[in-house]
Amino acid sequence: MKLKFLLTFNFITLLTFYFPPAFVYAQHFSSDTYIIDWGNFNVTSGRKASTNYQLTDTVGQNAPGLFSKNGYVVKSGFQYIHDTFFNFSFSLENQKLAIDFGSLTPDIGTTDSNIISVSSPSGHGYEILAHQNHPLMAIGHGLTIPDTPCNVGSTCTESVSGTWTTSTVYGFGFNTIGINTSNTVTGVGTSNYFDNSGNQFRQFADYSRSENPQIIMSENSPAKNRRARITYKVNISGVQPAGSYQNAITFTAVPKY
Amino acid sequence: MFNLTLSPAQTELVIKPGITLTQVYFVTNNSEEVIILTPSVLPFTPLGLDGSVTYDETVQNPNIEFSLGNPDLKLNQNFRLNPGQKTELTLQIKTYPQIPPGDNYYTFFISEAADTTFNTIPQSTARLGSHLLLSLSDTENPASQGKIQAFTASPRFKDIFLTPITFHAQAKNNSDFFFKTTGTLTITKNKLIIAETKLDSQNVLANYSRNLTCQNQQPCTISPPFWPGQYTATITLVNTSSASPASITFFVFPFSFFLGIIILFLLYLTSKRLFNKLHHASK
Repeated sequence: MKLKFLLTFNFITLLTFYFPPAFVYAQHFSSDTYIIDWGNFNVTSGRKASTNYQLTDTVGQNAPGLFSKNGYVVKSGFQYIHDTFFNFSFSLENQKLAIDFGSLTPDIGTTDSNIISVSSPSGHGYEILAHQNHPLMAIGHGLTIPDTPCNVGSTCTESVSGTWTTSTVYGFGFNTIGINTSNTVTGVGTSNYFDNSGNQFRQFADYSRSENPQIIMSENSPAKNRRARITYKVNISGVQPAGSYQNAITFTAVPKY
Repeated sequence: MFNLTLSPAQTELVIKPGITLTQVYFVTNNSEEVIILTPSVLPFTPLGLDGSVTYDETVQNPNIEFSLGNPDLKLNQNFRLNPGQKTELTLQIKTYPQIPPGDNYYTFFISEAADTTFNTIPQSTARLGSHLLLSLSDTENPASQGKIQAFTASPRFKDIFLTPITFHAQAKNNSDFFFKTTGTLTITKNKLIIAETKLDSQNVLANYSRNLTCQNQQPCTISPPFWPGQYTATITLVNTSSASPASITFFVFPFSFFLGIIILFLLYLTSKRLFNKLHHASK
């Protein structure tokens, strides 16, 4: 009897030694700066589907809310993040924000350019929209350099591109042409809006005339380091009053939903 | 130079009216210069059939309020981001209990602030947005109603060889909640499955339509060779409550085969005549 007891005791002791009880938290989340331990279990959660029904559920939680921290997303109770995708990047290479045309000479078009770059490595692509707050305007005078109408017979608007090569057509416009990392023209992302010749231009959508920002570059699939050159062009007539003309142009990058 | 990364790029939430929740955004300055930035939120509406958006004439829902949870920052207030710095912006989304069920779509923007000391020449600035798809619902899985429309095969009459057949279709959302185009395109002939491909999972926003694409955001195509006959293409959506499968038929004929036979026959006739002529001439 004593031997039996000793054998059983030793067996249980050995079991405890080799298979010690682990510390158990109902839910444990941690990051560099936070640790969250919750005192409740989920009975069940997730997406369920049958022929006729679909269900996303969480059963058993008692602290509804949404918490996220450094890459962790806690979906609890009634709110759900069904899907997310991460890291959308956009750059506009423009020192000091300036578009610098310098001093303008009548009947000779002057240009300046910026490079934009966009990365949307997941999701459904991206689009870049552009608008201006008002036409080029001389401060204090209210005089403007109008938006370019493009060549006669090749009319352009904020949503339609046209050829602008004639030196006697005056105004302000721009184009966008897709390039690669070697600055070689590819037209990727921009060919639906401008051809690759560099002679097609558009007007900026004008907020002061209630025009809506227009798409100037887009793709429908994930893209990485997609680049384009924005070329701004201005051409004035000999009767254009002297002055400092300015406006603000905004490029908006958003993912496709 | 504006060079920012915003994360996440899109968030999809189902929430109960009356709930206030928090969404954290991470903003990284990838440039080597200090950037002055402004956070803001704008509602958007879908534009076209490919996931584009527009911000014009979109009215802010008065039953949803946005604010920043950061103690030192408000929406539409400038903040400074040093070169290489990454910061967290905590967007608080407050919904009122009386908000009608349905979807609301917003973009959380980080805009480059214009340089006010530098206003005698044109300036270009940039802003970067992250979409927020909010479904306000009393149920955890709001019912959506969709259907397939404008389903076509191009060409409808096809040769056994040569070019592929491309399928075009749109998913139309007839409900107030967005759904995803989860499903399949199945090609059958004599009730036998010839090919099956998954649809790309895209969002179809409430009361709008979207072009369907197949897996990996590729056009839905099947490549030759094909056996002659009548085929049926069927699109099935699995995640909407009322989208019945949509089917179209297309036909494959052995045009090139017959053309080849005709050419061979003509060649045979021509060579036979030529042979006869030469034969007669030699006599």
